[in-house]
Parts: sequence; structure tokens; C-alpha cells
Amino acid sequence: MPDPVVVVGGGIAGIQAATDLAEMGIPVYLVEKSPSLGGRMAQLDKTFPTNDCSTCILAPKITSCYNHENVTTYTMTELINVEGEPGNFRVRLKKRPRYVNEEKCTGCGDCLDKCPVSISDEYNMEMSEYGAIHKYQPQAVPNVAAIDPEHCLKLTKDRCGVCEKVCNFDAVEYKQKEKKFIVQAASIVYAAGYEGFAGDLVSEYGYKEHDNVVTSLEYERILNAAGPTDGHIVRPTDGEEARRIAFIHCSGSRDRRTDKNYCSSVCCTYSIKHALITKEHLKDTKVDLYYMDIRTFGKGFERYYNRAQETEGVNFIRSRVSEIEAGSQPGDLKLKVTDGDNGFAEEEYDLVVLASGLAPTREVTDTLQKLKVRTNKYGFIDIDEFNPLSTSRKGIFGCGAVNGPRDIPESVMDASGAAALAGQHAVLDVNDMGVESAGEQEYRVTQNERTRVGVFVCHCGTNIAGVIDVEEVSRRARGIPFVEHAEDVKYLCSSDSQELIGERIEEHNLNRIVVASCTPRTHEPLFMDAIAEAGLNPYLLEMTNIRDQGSWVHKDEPEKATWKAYELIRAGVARVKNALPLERGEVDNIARALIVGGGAAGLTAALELGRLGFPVSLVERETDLGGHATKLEHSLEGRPVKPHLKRLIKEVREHDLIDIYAGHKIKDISGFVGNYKLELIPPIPEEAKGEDELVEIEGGVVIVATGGQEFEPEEYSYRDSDRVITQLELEEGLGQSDGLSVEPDDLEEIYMIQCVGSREEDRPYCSRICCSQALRNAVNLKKRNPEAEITILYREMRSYGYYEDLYRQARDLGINFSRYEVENKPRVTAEGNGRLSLQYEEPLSGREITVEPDLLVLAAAILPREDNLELSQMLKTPLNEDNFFLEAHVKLRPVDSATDGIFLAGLSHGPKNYSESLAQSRAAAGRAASILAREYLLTQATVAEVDEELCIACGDCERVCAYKAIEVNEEEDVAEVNRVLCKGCGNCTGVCRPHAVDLHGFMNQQIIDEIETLLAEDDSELAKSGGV
Amino acid sequence: MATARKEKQDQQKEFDPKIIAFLCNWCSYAAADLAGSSRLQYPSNIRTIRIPCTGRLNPLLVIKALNKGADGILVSGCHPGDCHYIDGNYYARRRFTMLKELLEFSGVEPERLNFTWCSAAEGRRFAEIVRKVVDRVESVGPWQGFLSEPDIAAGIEVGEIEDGDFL
Repeated sequence: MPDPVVVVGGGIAGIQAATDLAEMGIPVYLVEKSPSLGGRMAQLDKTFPTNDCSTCILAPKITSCYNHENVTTYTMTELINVEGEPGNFRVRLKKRPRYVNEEKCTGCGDCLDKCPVSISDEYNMEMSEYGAIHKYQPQAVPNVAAIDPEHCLKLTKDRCGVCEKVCNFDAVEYKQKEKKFIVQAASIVYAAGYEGFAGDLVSEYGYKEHDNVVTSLEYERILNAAGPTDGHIVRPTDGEEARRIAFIHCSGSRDRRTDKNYCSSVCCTYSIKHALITKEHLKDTKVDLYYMDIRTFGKGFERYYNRAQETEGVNFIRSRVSEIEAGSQPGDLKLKVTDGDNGFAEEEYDLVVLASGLAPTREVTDTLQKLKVRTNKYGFIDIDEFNPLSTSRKGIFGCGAVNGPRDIPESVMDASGAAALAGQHAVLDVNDMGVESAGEQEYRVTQNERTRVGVFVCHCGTNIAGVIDVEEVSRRARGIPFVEHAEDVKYLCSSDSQELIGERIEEHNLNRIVVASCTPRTHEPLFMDAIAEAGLNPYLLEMTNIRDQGSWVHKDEPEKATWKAYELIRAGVARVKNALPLERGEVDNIARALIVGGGAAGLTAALELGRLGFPVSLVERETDLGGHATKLEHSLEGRPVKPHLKRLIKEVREHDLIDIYAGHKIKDISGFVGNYKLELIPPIPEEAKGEDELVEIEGGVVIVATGGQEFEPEEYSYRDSDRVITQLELEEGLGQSDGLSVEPDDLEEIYMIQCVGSREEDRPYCSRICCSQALRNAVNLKKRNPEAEITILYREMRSYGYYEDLYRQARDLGINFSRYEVENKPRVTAEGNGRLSLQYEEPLSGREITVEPDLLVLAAAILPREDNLELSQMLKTPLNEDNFFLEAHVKLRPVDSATDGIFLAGLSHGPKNYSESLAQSRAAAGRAASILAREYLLTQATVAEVDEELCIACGDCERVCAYKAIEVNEEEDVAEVNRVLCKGCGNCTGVCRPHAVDLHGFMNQQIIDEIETLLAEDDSELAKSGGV
Repeated sequence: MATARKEKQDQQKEFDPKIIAFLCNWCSYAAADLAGSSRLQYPSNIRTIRIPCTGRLNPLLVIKALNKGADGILVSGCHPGDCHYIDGNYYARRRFTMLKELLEFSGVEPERLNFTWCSAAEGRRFAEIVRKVVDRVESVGPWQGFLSEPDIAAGIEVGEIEDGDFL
């Protein structure tokens, strides 16, 4: 058994790190300060850029982490200090008394209404109240109450005691005491998160004086159906619907007057989210966003921004709000705005939302100092760009917003990467891994029972219930033939609802379940687990999708959406009534990673996996390792990249467990998770020309790290003049003695143009790094030649995170900035005399300016590699609209591809800088390790089966099966299925003329019943069809 | 005449077609989910049946749906080359092409039979597909079933089969 790891923080980052480590077979102590797991993400209403319901995607993750056999969760627990060395830390923890026994409390809630005390609800940002005994949040995990000792009458004055009296489980324990204890740990992952600041720091925004000025986190709660206003957008002062709302970007961030000069990176995109959701709730409400630059630099964010701009009534106003005063009517607010073009303006609003930034809490910074982990000037962990996720103290790793401003996918990437690093200290025993067991659980025998279906209809807050009349649907569902029980539930995915399903199964002796909620693609495993818990075979479940393909797409037709939901449920009943109990099989897992791409990303992933103890085969098409990074001179922080890259290559080459296939090209990829095979074409040596011997390598997982490429501009005379170069060429040139056609010290006037090839109609994404790269190059040039006049023509300066410091430095050095609009781009002509002529409009005066720069530097877009399509087809994993590899889920699975066992790292996944690529590669290693650590994987249960009586051994099935999973046994004259190889696609079932092959989970009779029921006018079709 | 036309228009207005959509789990069903999370609106006429792969679709299931009164059919899988199961969508395309020809031959309007691709990233495309399919089906009106009585009355020739003859 490996040594345990302590993970501090039970938000999304901590949950991901804990889950990855636990999947590697490592015991985890997950330490959370509050009474429930979930962190900030649990407070969010929806997530950008898909507007997915935050709770819906988070809840399954929390539940599976909390229930993982290798995870021990300590809530209400804080870290005091750490002694010892990596591999043998002694971690001192302090658990505050909950005054409720976590083992005994069932979360029934009987005590909650009886408490006579009212206190501010922390989860709802103190905008509502709950009792001194309360659940921290409606979907708390563990689903257990807690008592606030400062307000409880029993604990403060020895009166009351009503909660103890009403509790049927003797769970209330007023005598609990604080507990201090020590756990041994090999390493520590620190994921303590952030606080939202802004309001209280920026006095002129009047957050404290005006109740109708709220922070973004408060607004999240206001938008949320489970929040203080039930999802109605109303003003805190009078409960009136807000008709005019202003969002103020950069509240507290990018502010030279405070100590928060950095950009918080997430606020622009979440404000766009707020704007879009506000318009969904209240179509006629005016939504104004006041911003300096819109920084939608993440994957898919630019399209989101474009969508908001096209949405009627969402106004983007580029100006700085200087002051907020009381307006003309009570509760109204007057904004004083400095408008770059028009001087000053005033505007009145009902509600003002401050897009507050991300900062570490004082407490977190103090703890880090106690841990002897170096922090930066902003109080975040001081991260080395070449060694992201590590801290200054060996054996302690940071992930999520303690590392700096991060959005959710970045936090998740950090977490998987930190797990890869922390796991190295836990000393995995590759030959003795925690093994998942199959089919051990005994399920109730249901075969000979009468069919008794239970139907559960989810409100999903207002996501479903806001459009579909779920009460009516569940009432009608009770009348569907075979249905024994039907009910509607606020959030079916919450842990108490999971238990409720179990209770109903027992109560009504249910043997089939229909869940009408969201998409089975994300939530089927959760509900399968829930019914398995209750002793029912998990395949006796059917999910009907009444949210993603119901309420969300038919919001203007509530009656039709309601009827459709009912019809789908009825068809679900028809389908599930013939479902059979199924079991999974086992398949061998090859404990080797196959990495495609030998650039910085591939090398890093290889090295981390090697260090974890897993063999790696690294394939690189070029003869030399290093990839795109060989062209980089310096990092965005200005440090030389080449020495780091050289060391990385050396370490990979010298590692015993890593085999390198340089100069090899991929001919074909086959297989599936646990068993991938790559066919490689080796480099042909001179003497063996013509010989074509393929090399085959096998592994359990594949990491795609094939990189990207720089756009070769067609515009701005790039092809006509030596004086026009790209930022990458400038960077390369500055690093070499005569790398530039023009001697850098002779340059007098230099212009840079941003967004060349990015954010265009046919390439509507932001290349993310170009702004910071331009700033870095401009600063380097200016330092080298202070006389040079440098001007950057930009559309939006997207120096997110700490790169804002670089922006500030550039301005302080006297570098000029001039904004242009995409409709009015600068124009360049290469003159005959070798000079350049550049024309652009000066935005303040509107004057047309013509200059003759010595050098023009273009920020060329980052493109996906042209062969991505070919590779994606070989891998059977999709690309996104821009031809970068598509992740399995934009928020919570940013490193996984849509195909099991294939992971993504570096530029193949989308534009990112060197440091971000390294972090994602470590994450890919962490995710890969969570699969490689298993001795065998479980096959799926939904495989094909042959009815020997009907089979005519024609061989059609064999011909169409891509996996060679079904073959005709010539001796027996019948087709046979290999359950391990079968992937459950059903191609054999589709082609079988005598209907001898059927596919479990999608059986012919099930689909026929579903069709008939969907098209029937009433229940008669269903009633006359037979149940099992 | 005008009244008749108006009546027909009214009928068409009330015509709310039922369309059975067979969507593969990995691309088109995911696209439908994405349309949802992007809040793209489309008509509520489709009833989706989730299948692992369009290759799973036995042609008889399409005929079953028509036989039970579906006004239109949509089958949508992964783009060529994208199939999660390597080539299931190619087999599906072949099968559907043959089936479509057969059904058109037996009097089913081509507008009712729709086969397309849609990737997991194409929520917008999915919503457009649904709108388009609903329009197509609406343009040919309610499905009257295979060789219904009015058709025969209208003079469609049915060959006489004498004893001892086989088709």
C-alpha cells in the first residue's frame, strides 16, 4: 500500500486531486475547513462558456470522491502545521466540533425548522438565513447538519436543546470538543482556494453604503434557483425586479491604487455569463457591462463573447466607472463614468454588480508562510514557471486559485498535475495496485417479479421546473401502466435524493427505475450507483433527458415541453420494462503510456509518468526532440527557455522507463483503453532503403501532445517586406547575434499589430498568448534600446493574470498603445525603397496617422496542426470547431478526450503558453496514471449476445464488426461474441437479418416498445405490451 | 376554391408532425445536449431515441416508426471518419440509402426520410437540422401510412396476382 497524501481544500481542485490520487491507489486524507465539500464552485449558478448548471456537473464528482474507498474526508478541519520531510510528513490537523455525529445524522432535516435562532447563511453569501443548526448547503456532502456554537442557545446559554429532542437518531452531541490529531503523509496538495474581494476594497463603488451594489458571488446566489431569491433577479433593498443592471469589470483587479495590480482572469467571462443569464431570466432588462478590455482568452470564450454582443440588450461600454452614488429614486444608483471618447457621463441603475476578482484569503497566505511555502507579492503561492504546481517547499504542491487567478478547468488541470507530482512521493507499487473488483455485489433477483417501475422527475431548480410543469408530469406518470410510484424532486443528483431513491425502491419494492432529468451522458453513472446502493442491478435504469433536450431548448413552449417530457417518460417506461440485469467483465490493462509528440508537453508528461514508475513509449516524428519550444528564446517572465528544455530532454533520454521513438511516424492506431496499439514507420536508414518494417508499440493509454503551429500571415505585407516579421521571429532574432534583418540597436520606430489571424470571422478564437508575448518582446527591445519608439496596435490588451504587471511595466517604460477596431484595421504598404508605410486611426482624435516604421511585428495566431484531422480519425476522438482536440468536458475534464484512455496536453488542445503547457502535461500524466495504476479494467455490460436458435451463421455480423468481437464458429455453425472485445456499438445487431444478435441495453424489443409508445395516442399500446 | 385553400392552410397550421430521431450517443446526441446548454431553441416535434451508434439502427426500426404513424424520421450520426466505433456510420449510411430508395419507391416522400451527421461540437447545427427537418416534413403534410385506401382509390395500380403466382 502506498503512503497517504493529504489534500487541503475540498473545492473542485481538491476534489479532483483527491480523486486522481485515490484512483492511483493512494490513500488520501481530504481536509475541508467548512462543513461540506464543494467549495466556491458549489456556490456558482452556472458555468461559462456552456452555461452548464454548476451543481449538476459538480455534484456527481463530489459524491464519487467522498464515497471513494481510498478517500477519508475530514470536514470542519484545518491544517495547523507540517513537520518532517517529503515521504514522511507529520501533518497536524484541528477538527472543530460539529456538535452533530456525522455517522448518526441522516440529513433528514427534522431539526432544521425547529431551531429558534436565525443566523446569516454563509453559503448564500449572507443574503438569507438559516438556523443555528443547519445544513451548510442544500446538497451538503456529507449530508449532515452542523451547529454554529456562537449562536446556539444550548451552547451559549444552556437553554433550548430542541434539536436534540427532535432528533430520532441521537445525532446531536452538544458535548463534542475540538480534536487535534496528526496524520502521516508522503506529500501534501494545497488547494485552499480564494476569496472574492473588490467591494470592500474599492470604497468609491459604495459596496458598503449601497445595498443594491452586490459582488459577483452574491449575484451568483441571486441567479440561483436555490438561492436567497429563488432565482428571481430582484433588488436586495425592496425586492423589486431589476430592470437596469450595470456590471463593473475589474472591481478591485488591475487597480494601481490597491495592491491588486494583477488581472483576475475570470471576471470578464463570468460577467458575460451573468449578462446572458440575466437576459434569459428577464428579456427586457437593460444589461450594461463597463469594462477596460474584454479578456475572453480561454478556449471557446471568444465565441461566447460574440454571442453576448449579438444578444439584444447586452451593451458593452468601454469606460472606467469612477463613482457610484445614490440615484434619484430610493434604492437607485447613479454611476459616474469616465468615457474615453465623450468625457464624463452619468447613468442610473437598479442594481450594480461588481465583477470582483480572485485573491487568497489572509488566512491562506498566513498558513502558507507557516508551512514555509514562498508566496508572491499578491499572497498567492510563488510558482516557478518552469516547474508549475510545485512550491518552494519540497513535497508540498499547489493547485487551483492558491496558485494565482484560475478558472475551473485550469484549476482541474492544476489538480491532476499536482496529483501526478504528489503521487511520486507516495511511492506507487506498480506491481500491486488497488484493483477494482467486478460483479462482487449481489443484487436483488428481479427476474420473476411483476414489473414495478419507479419514476423520478427532477426540477433541477428552475432549469427544468421553470419551463416544464414537473408536478403535472409526475402526477400523470403515476397513471402510466407498470408505474408503481412517481414523484418530483428539487435536485435528483443531490446525495439526499440518491438516498430517497433507495428508500422508495425498498418501500414500493420497485424493480425498474426511470429518471427524468438531465442527460444520461453525464449523470447515468450517478443514478446507476444510486440504485445499485439500494440493491437493484444498475442496468434496470432508464434516463429520459427532459432538460438538455427539453426545457432548455423549448423554453418558449412550456406546454409542449411538458407534454413532450411526459411522452418521453412513458417511452422510458416502455423501454425499461424489458431491461435485463447485466454485469461487467474484466480486461487486462497494459501498464505503459504511449505519448505522441516529443515537444515540451510530451517530454514533461513522459518524465512525470516515468517518475511515478510507469513505462513510457514516446513517439516523435522529427529526429530531434523539443518541438515548437526549440524556437522559444524566453518565457513570458523573461527567463531563457532553452536551458530548461535541454535539461528536460536530457532527463527524458536518461530515464530507464522511457523509450524514445524519434523520427517515427504513426501509420495506424488501434485498440481502446487498457490496450492501445500504435503502428510506427521507423526512419529508413540509407542502406536499408525500400524496406518498410513497421514497429508496433502497445500501452494502456495515449497522450496526444502533437503541438500547434504559427499562422503565416497573408496580410500586412508580411510576404513582401523583410521589415515585417512575426513575434516569434522577433523573439528568435533577438536571441541570435544576427537574427534580425535589421540591427535591433538601429531601430528607431517599431510597430506591433495584435490579433493577426485571430478573432477573425473564419477563426473566431483568441490565441491567448500573443498579447503577453508582444509585451515581453516590447519590454525586452525597449530595455536593449531605450531610444526606440515602440507602439502596439491592439484590439483588446489581454495580459491576463500576472501578465498585467508586464503591461504596466511596458507603459512605465514609455511603450505606446493604440487601439484599433476590427472593421478599421491598420493598412500597410511595402514601398519600393525598402521602407514600409503604415496607416492607422488614432482612436481618441479619430485622426488618420501615417508612419514609416523600421520594423513591423505581427502577433500571428496559433493554429492547430494540419494533420490533427488525420490523427483524430486514427484515435477516434473528435476535434472542436477550430480543429484543436476536443476535451471530454470543458469544465471538469479538460485533459481527457472524449475517448476513454486518451489524454490531451499542450497546443494540440488549444493555444497556451509554455508554463501552461507544462502544467497541462503534468495533468495528463496524472490522469493517465489513474488508469495505468489498475491491474485490469472492467469491460462494459452492454454487449451483444447471439440467440443460437435464430443464427444462420451468414457472417454478416462478422464482416461489419470493427473489433473482431463477433465471429462465426464454423464447427457449431453459429456466431459467437467475445465480450472483452465487444464495445457495444450494435453494428452486428443492425445488420442481422434473422434478428439473432441483440444488444444489451439497446435491445430490439426495447426500441420497438419505445417507438410504439412514443407514437401512441394514449397508454393502450403500452398497457397491452408485456412486461417481464 | 379560396375556402378550400384556406381550409388546407388551416389544416397545415394545426399539423404538428411527430418525428422520430435516432441519434448516436457520441456525436449527435451530444450535439443535442450542446444545443441545450447553449440554449438554442428548436421545435418540440422530435422524439429522440438514443442508440450507441447509427450502425445499431436496424432498417426495420425505421419502418416500424412509419408504420406506427411517425410523420418523419431523422437519423443522425457522427461525421464520416469521426465514428466512435470506427465505421458504424458508414454502414448506417449504406443501409439508410437503400432503405430510403425502397421506401420512396413504395410511396414515402423523400422529405420524411432524413439522414445526416452532427458532431458533439455542433449544437447550433443540430438545432438547425431539427428546424429544417420539421419544415421538410411539414411541407408534405401528415403521413397517411403505406398504400392507404385513398391511394388505391386514386388509381394506383396493384397488379393482379393469380393463384400459383409468386412475387
